Amino acid sequence: MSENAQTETNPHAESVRKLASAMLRYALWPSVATATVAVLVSTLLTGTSGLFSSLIGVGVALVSSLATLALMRKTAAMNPMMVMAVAMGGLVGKLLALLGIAAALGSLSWLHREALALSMLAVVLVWAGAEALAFRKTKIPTIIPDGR
Amino acid sequence: MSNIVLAQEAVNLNQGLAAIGYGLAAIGPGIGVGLVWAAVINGTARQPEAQGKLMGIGWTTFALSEVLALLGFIVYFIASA
Repeated sequence: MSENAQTETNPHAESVRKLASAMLRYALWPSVATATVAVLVSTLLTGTSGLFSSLIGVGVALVSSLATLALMRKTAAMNPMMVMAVAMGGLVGKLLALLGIAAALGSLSWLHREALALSMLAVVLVWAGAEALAFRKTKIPTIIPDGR
Repeated sequence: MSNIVLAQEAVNLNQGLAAIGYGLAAIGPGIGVGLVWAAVINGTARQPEAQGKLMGIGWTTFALSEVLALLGFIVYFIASA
């Protein structure tokens, strides 16, 4: 492969995008299934307040996890220093957003906090486990450049 | 009932303490994420051909570190009840 072709396709970026796709493929459906079960259990145990609280928790968990994968795709072609800056910025942004959500939900009297927290916990853990599994199963090549 | 118990019932500190706990819980993942990407930058500088592999490892461990921050948020909700 010539140098021009290498810069055009950027095999490193391709492998990061491939991993992001695998992570999404592995994590999405188990997480959706877990979310459904969590919402059903919360509704059965605590009624309508549990249903809405659980939906909020599940929504926050899914959006947060999807945001990481979106960040991964967007920064695939950047150099590692920029990726570090973006990842740290993403983490700070996420923590601030969660603080905002906590402040907004803090005054709601109908909110069932345990339903929200435990539903979110279940989805986050399943998503993280599936991502780790996807990483284990995906083969990422070591790119040897021309002239070596 | 003692004065201390009466004072505890008059002022509910749970919300504030839970928020402080959430802030403290965010320190660990911050350090972890910094270490992960520092290692990725180091590794890429030493062996540029492994960049794709190192970025994959970096993003996976970043996601796992981030889970700790989300756990802090979850504990905040349970503790502030």
